[in-house]
Amino acid sequence: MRASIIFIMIVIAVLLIPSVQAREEYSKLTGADCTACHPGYPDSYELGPAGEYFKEHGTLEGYGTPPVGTPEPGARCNSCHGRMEVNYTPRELVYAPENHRFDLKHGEGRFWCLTCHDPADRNKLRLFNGSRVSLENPIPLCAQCHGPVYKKWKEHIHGRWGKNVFDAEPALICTDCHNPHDPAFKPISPMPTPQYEPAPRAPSWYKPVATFILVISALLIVASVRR
Amino acid sequence: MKETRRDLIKKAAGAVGMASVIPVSKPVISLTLEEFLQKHFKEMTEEDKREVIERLEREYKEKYGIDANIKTTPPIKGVVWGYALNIQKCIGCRRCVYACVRENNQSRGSPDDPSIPAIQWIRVVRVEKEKIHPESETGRDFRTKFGEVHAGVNIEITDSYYDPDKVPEKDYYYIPIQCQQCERPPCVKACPTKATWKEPDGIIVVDYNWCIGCRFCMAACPYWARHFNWAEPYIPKEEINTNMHYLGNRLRMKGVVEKCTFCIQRTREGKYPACVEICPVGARKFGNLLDPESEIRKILEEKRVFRLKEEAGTNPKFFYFMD
Repeated sequence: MRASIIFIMIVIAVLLIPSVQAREEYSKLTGADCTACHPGYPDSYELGPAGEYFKEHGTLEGYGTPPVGTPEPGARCNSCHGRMEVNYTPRELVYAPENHRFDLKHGEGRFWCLTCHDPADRNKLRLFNGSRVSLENPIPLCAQCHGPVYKKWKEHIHGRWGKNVFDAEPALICTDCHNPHDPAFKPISPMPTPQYEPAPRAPSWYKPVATFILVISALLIVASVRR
Repeated sequence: MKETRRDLIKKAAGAVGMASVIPVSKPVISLTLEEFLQKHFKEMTEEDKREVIERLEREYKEKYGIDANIKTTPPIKGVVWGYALNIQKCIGCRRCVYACVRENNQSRGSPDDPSIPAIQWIRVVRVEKEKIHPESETGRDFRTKFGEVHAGVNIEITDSYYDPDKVPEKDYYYIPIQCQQCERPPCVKACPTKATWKEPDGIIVVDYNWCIGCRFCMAACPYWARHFNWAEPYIPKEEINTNMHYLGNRLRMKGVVEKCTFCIQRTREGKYPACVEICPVGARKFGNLLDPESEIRKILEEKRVFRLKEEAGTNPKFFYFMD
């Protein structure tokens, strides 16, 4: 009986080792604590979205909304960042999930993440006046620097507006064409060159048949004239 | 006796003449009676149009095995379409060319038979920025009401077969050229059978069943916008766009001329042409010239706009502009 209790305890301990390791490793990497994966800790161990992702994939690489693309309505940035200390120092993000690590080309080195992303609520973007806009609708944020382009866009001159010619609502917004972290368009490969339009070629039988007909007609004409 | 011999000769000559005609005009032989008796599109009643559409759909089903949906959508009232293209933004990637080919069922060019050429309604030409400069040697002298000016670019010296690794290249402009939908179209004037005409919404269309393939319109067009089907078009069955318009992208036959129609099958339903939709840099703009609030009118008011070969007096509704 005692032996079996000891055995069960050993099994539990062995099973716990990886999760302890994961926690230590994870908090070392990101500075977050248990609540990053278990939002209810210490009252409950129920997994939050980050925890579910970790359970499924065994890693947090690729977790979260991609830095560019279609931010989903319930952006999950705060499930990690809500529990992390805000660090305003521009730096290379070495330990962050993979989708956080890229060259920020926007602003030619003058910008840092928190220029646009709200430090207090990472699910939102922050305007100069302190008000917040959602990740899905960054137009006011872009417009505060790119005023003339914004005006042209509203007049349907810059970029493309709707799906249909008479659309009143835009179908495409700034971030649908421009990567907000690297907005300039890159050179692309051109499609194949056009074919040289070949000169029309007569079918092979055309020449002998045409010659034959010409000769016969000439002979007939000559014959009829001589009559 | 003399008379009969002469008659004989006449008959023989006639027969020979006929024989020389038959092989050349092969499609004439394969005409069905319905097709032969078909009225001009503008004279057709709704009933006639329905019959023609049914016949064409049947023919396409037999020939290509596709369920085509051919429309005869009339023009939208109070709309004249205009087009604008930003040559400062265009990167010459030719995405528009191939989007157009797919949308409008143009011949792809057979991989096996070199006598079936590919047809492309859009031709992108590359021109050195230097040569567009007003004082360049390639310009010409014009007498205007403001005096003599030296301007313009000689389109004939441009290159449409450029093929670098990446576009855009420094020091080059790219000018896509397609049908300019002229207000005074020389092609329409040249057509001896009235197979091509200007629709109320400003689009120049071709009725392929009335085209006799004389190619006068091609000679009349200053923009190389018209293309001739030298051979039966080659289109893989699975690539055929079944959303067709009678005056637009329905499948063509050998021996007819075809051209850009601003994607009539799309624009008459309020959609953008395929080239506008595909453009990755938003250089192509399209809208209603009669609506002062439309994007095309805003561009005409605010931007520096020019038209190709303005001196030809064709009044194109296709504008090129710069920021």
